[in-house]
Amino acid sequence: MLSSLSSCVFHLGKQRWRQYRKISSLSCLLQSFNEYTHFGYRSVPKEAKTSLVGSVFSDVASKYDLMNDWMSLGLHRIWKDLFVMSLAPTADMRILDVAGGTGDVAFRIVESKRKDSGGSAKQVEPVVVVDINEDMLRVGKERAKERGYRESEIMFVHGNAEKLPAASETVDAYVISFGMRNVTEPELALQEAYRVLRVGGRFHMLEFAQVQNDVLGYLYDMYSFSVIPWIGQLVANNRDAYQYLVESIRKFPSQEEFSKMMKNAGFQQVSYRNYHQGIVAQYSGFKLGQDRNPL
Amino acid sequence: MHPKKLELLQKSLEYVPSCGFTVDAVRKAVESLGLSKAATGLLERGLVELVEFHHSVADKEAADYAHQIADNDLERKDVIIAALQRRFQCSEDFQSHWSQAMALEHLPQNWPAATRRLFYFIGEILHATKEKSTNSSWYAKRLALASIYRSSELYWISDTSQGQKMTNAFIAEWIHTWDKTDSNLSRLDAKANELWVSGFRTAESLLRSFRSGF
Repeated sequence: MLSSLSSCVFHLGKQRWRQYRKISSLSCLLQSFNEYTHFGYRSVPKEAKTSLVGSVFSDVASKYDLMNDWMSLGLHRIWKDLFVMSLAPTADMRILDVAGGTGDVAFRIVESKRKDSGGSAKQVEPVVVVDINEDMLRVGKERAKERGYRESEIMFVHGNAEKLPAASETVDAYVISFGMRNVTEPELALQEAYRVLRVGGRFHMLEFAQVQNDVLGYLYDMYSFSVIPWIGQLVANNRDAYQYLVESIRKFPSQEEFSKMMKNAGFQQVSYRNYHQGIVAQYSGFKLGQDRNPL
Repeated sequence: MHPKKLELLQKSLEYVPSCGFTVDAVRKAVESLGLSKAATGLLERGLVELVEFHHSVADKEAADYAHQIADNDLERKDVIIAALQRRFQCSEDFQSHWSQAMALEHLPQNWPAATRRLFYFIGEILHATKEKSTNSSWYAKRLALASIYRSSELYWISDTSQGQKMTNAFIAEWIHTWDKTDSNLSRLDAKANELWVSGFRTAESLLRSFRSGF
């Protein structure tokens, strides 16, 4: 019975997967118009995307962290640990966590800062979490309170990645984790990141990326389109939200393309590192000022 | 390399005598250059980049010195001795913290690059001595000199003599020994080659004789 059930899920998933691949190729035609952008495999007016993404995250905010565990089989914890380790935050670093909603990455940074300050007289700068979605911020604030983090350690601010509520050249590190693909215009977000960073400041991003291995890519697609929306329905009672999430991953630029976008925004020493053959990639770039001609 | 990163590496080296090859040296350099605190991340592979940067500068200086003195009609071994001694002089300011640099270089992820760098440096010195061998002795000479360099390095980090006199004497002794051994091996190699050629010709003529039926 179990084998017939699993083969049923497999065939259904395969069917849906083919259907969405077809939609994807059709939506490419519509995206030739500048006023449109992608919302998963659908094309929507640019002005509409922000509110559509907002409603997706408002619906799933309370179950977001649980769903992360289910979807990534717990791997997202390792990715985020490695992400924060490579940033090596110090107590006196000013860090902006954009689209940081429920605070997963921000809490790890706070712990790192606590370890670095170790009771010394070093000034500890708070981590500022910026998110456009109030529901996600609310969940983040509740979790921060549960863990006993003070406001001097972490702050939650409502804001848009395309127009940050921060003065220019005031931030040491800009981090964004699984949020860039939800931004309507990533180029604007990159320009804003460049604006707020100090000279020598670091842009650090974690995002789902394009799988480099064909076999793994095939299995990953099958898992994404057949299992994840089903888990979304079961756990968060919202299949469409997770359908959007897996589609949005496919529409995000490849590692090379996004690196080029970072360079176009002015970042230098741009690099990326793939985890699990490109399921997730970690991007890094620095604002090094006007000297754009490397030796 | 971006000019800002180059500046950071140069500035960090200024703090190495007081802070060692540690992240504190880089942080102080970042602060003095007025960069963001996140700029320490410019050294993507960590502190080994600081060590490699110093090597690139010091190796070049020693190699240039070797090329300069090679024109003075010195013997091969004297050029090598002078170049190696000069190389350690270039790192004089960091002697007390050099064990940290060696430890960083010998980490598994850094060791291949460090070895490549060493063999390249040795190659440059031998090139200055007009070394033109193309057989297996090319590899043997480089391996021998690389071993002498590493032994000298270990000796040097605990050398407390004035102007590294003990290390200079150590280098001179080992290079003399190597040079003698190398000459003897070359003579042996030539003799062995002669024996081989004559043996081969003898066998060849015997075979011809058998074929023609004596």
